Amino acid sequence: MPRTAVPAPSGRPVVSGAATARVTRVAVERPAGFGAPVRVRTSDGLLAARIVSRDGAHAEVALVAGGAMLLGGDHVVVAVRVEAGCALTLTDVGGTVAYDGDGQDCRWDADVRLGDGAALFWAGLPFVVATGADVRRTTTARLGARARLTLRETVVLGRSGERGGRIVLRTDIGDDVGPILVEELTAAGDHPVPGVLGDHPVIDTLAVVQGTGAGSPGEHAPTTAEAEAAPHLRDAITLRLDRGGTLTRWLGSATHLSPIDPDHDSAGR
Amino acid sequence: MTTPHALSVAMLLADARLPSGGHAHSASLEPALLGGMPTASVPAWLVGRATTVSLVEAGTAVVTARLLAEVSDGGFGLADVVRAWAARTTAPALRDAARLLGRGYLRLARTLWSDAAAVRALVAHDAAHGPLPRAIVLGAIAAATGLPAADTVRLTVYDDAQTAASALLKLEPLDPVTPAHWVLEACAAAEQHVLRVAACTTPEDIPASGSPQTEGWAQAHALLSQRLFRA
Repeated sequence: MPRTAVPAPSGRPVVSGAATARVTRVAVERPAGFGAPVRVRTSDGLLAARIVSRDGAHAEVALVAGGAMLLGGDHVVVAVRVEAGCALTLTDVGGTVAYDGDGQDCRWDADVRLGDGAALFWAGLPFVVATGADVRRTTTARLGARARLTLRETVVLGRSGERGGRIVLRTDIGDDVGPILVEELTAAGDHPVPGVLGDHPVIDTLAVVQGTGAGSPGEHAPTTAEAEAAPHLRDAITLRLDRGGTLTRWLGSATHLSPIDPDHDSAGR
Repeated sequence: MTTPHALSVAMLLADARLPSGGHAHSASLEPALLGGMPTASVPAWLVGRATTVSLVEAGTAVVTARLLAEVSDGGFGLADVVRAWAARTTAPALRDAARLLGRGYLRLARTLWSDAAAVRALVAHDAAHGPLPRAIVLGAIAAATGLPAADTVRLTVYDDAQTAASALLKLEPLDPVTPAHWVLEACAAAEQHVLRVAACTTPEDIPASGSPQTEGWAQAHALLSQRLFRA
């Protein structure tokens, strides 16, 4: 099995020798000719990629679990590439449960590269951390100039009636100028921390960010007025990031109560 | 010229009597209480801060100090450290509060250590690019005074916890000794992270440990008109 480059926490590539790290790849490339649809290349890992539709600029691809997952020792790796000017919608066919690994941890790593002006819309279904699971889940994205990323991530601590296991949730989004959003959340169902998640088992996050082009200012200092103008979705909070873009977040008791609606909140996808 | 010991500088910086503007801040405590957190949760919340957001601040200060003391030559500049901090500080209300505190610290630094190259570099950056957050200014002071990296981390954690603790006494009737005990508990909880954070050398190394509930409370608090503290 080939060894696989996966993103390290710092964003630098490292080589993982984990035997279970099989990469699910989705690459969207420009059409071969005028009027032709975008080309989509996929390869399957623990998740299988299935093309749902495509046209001259956009493809939709579904990610399907290839079997029971995530089990202790599993390492899901998803590599997404969208060429300049192309757009991709990724959908999950089902939510994911990280099961009790019986002392073994598991990993889920997504690595996203968007070319200039490319777009990715990825509204994942809930990721459930069962009691006994120990998960490290990372999303690393590098955006080309004016590339647009819409990413919804819902993490649930525990299945029904459970307190849930442990998760480290890292998001690292940047462009040629530098980092845009870097966040690493650590949560454990049996040790709720006030100020982090409190007693809430559900953390629902929608990030909408855009890459800055080389040569453009690259700095965005929002005024207080702009911060105050951020939309309020019932009890979700929208934070305007320093370099532009937004992070909308809701903490709650059940996924169906979340007011976050990526289809509504990402106008212009 | 005689110079004070770095410990004396740390004590000065951690002293609430220092005119740096910290008295107007509650280190996110007032937002938490107004957001519905019970007073009984304050000790666990302090431990949570000491092991999350305080480490982001501490790592930012450590990397800044290394950069300005010219110990590190990682091919990055002050703007990169500021960007790393801002990307890890998602709530605009918290970025605004940190920049306001940074202004107070910089005023102090440019008076007390006016000859230090680290402080001069900050003053120039501030003039060209706008206010710097407190963690960056603290890093420059550490570079100017030789404050060791591990002590910079401890100072950051302590200052954050003590700011919240003294704000608590203005918000809730309490035996003043009780929060002092909680401050030490928070410092003790952070101790296991001190060496790791003190070893940060590049902007990428800076911890990114967020606190979503605190960030939400901070943002809601910024919109309130009836509040005792700025953040």
